[in-house]
Amino acid sequence: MNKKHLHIVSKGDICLSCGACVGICPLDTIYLNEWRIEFDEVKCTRCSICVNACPVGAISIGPETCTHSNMTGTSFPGR
Amino acid sequence: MASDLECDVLVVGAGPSGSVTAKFAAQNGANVLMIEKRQEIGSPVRCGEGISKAWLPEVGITPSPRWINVEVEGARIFSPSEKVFEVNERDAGNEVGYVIERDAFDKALAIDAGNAGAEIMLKTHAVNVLKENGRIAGVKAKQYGQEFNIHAKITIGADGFESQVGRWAGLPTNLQVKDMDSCLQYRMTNIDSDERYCDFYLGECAPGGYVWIFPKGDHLANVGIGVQVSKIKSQAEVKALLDKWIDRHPGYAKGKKIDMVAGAVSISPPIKQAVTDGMMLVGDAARMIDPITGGGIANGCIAGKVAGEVAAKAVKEGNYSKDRLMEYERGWRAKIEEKQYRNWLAKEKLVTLPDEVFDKVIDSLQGQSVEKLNVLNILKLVKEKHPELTKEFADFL
Ligand SMILES: Cc1cc2nc3c(=O)[nH]c(=O)nc-3n(C[C@H](O)[C@H](O)[C@H](O)COP(=O)(O)OP(=O)(O)OC[C@H]3O[C@@H](n4cnc5c(N)ncnc54)[C@H](O)[C@@H]3O)c2cc1C
Ligand code: SF4
Ligand code: SF4
Repeated sequence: MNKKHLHIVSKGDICLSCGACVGICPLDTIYLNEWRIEFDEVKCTRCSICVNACPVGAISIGPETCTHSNMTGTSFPGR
Repeated sequence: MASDLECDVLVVGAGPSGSVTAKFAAQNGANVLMIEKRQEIGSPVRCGEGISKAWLPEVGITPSPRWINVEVEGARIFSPSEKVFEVNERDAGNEVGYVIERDAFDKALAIDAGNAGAEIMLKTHAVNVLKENGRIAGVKAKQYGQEFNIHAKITIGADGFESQVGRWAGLPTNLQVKDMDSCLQYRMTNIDSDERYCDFYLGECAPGGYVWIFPKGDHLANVGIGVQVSKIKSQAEVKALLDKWIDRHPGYAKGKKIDMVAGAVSISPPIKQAVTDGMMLVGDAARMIDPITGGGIANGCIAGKVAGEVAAKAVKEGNYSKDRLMEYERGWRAKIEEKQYRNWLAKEKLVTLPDEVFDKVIDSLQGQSVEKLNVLNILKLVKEKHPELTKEFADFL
């Protein structure tokens, strides 16, 4: 599937806003905006390193974008 | 539109490394601005809160009951079958380390920086670096939704593990997945731990890392885990491993969690370059964490002092070139590099050892004593008993 159809999201009800993923991502793609994780979906290669590395499993890559349960962890295409 | 600001030295990030840098730059005469994206310095805490004592005087930090929870006598290292190697300096009458209240500690260092004359701005994010004639000349910042430029003669990236300042400036701060640990910790009350010790559990319970218990007094402790990112095989595995470890230990399973923190640490060799024209990186942003212990507060503060002093001198001389700032590069390397490299080599070996070998090693160390509790002395003991395990880095021991 084209990466455009695979969104990367951090679910706000799981995310601890710890910033681990920001430093782990090999690109300058994730940003911790105080409490909220933002992804640059244009830069993100969907390599999924951050998905397993997140200590609590908040990040997922799939067709879904933000829902009410992950309002604080939305994905922002092209910050 | 908010108006632009100007300063001699701009410090991005008010963690321990940033505050110590800001303090020494201000104390030596520079006009310093430190920006912090959070609303509260030191909070939320992302730390096990264990530090050793020996380095504090060197960076001008006076121990204070405001941020000391417990003074510990030593450390206990548990093998996979839970044989214990106990290291302490009790016989010498020494206390070797503190478990601290990290938010109070970070605030105390920021207060020192402020008292030395540094300006501090909260809720102020750096969102990019400014480049002028090929040098870093400050940052583009955002506060309360307003964007503005902060022009600086020297910019210091002290923005922690999640550092982007170094990336924006093109410095080589990227890490391999084997050189990072992903961490999770609960603060737990009502547990049975020995409050004289910091405890470390090695082996498959925490692949490529360890489980730690750092006592905070009154049956309260930080119970955490670090796992090498390259060894994580599934989503949320770090949490699953910590939960499993707690479940298997009745003295902890009965505890109550009152706090949960996560984060990541680098367990890497020293980076190749921490300065460029107009800019220096300190602390976690420069990947200065000790690759064996995962502790980074000490190295960040030690480097911060050098960075602050060099920045102030460079400002006085009006020379912010990379060549001038190389004094910092040489300074931090003289204090940190060899030890970090040696401990990285030791870590590279340690992460390959199966549980049986850990058991054998810890077993053979029981009853041994070290004069001073530090990684080097423990590695020397291992070398004595198991030279085959230390041959890759024997020259450093
Ligand atoms: C779970 C865990 C346990 C740990 N346990 C220990 C331990 O027991 N002992 C020990 O010595 N070390 C420990 N460490 C490591 C230790 O926390 C770090 O080494 C230490 O915090 C480094 O200090 P620093 O000042 O370099 O960075 P930080 O303390 O991370 O400070 C960086 C600051 O920069 C701010 N910032 C980031 N980006 C921006 C931006 N763009 N604009 C403005 N501000 C920004 C952040 O908000 C933060 O306040 C642990 C780490 C983790 C994750
Ligand atoms: S998504 Fe995971 S790694 Fe990233 S900040 Fe949230 S909890 Fe931390
Ligand atoms: S999937 Fe890869 S590129 Fe995308 S944010 Fe995660 S680590 Fe970065």
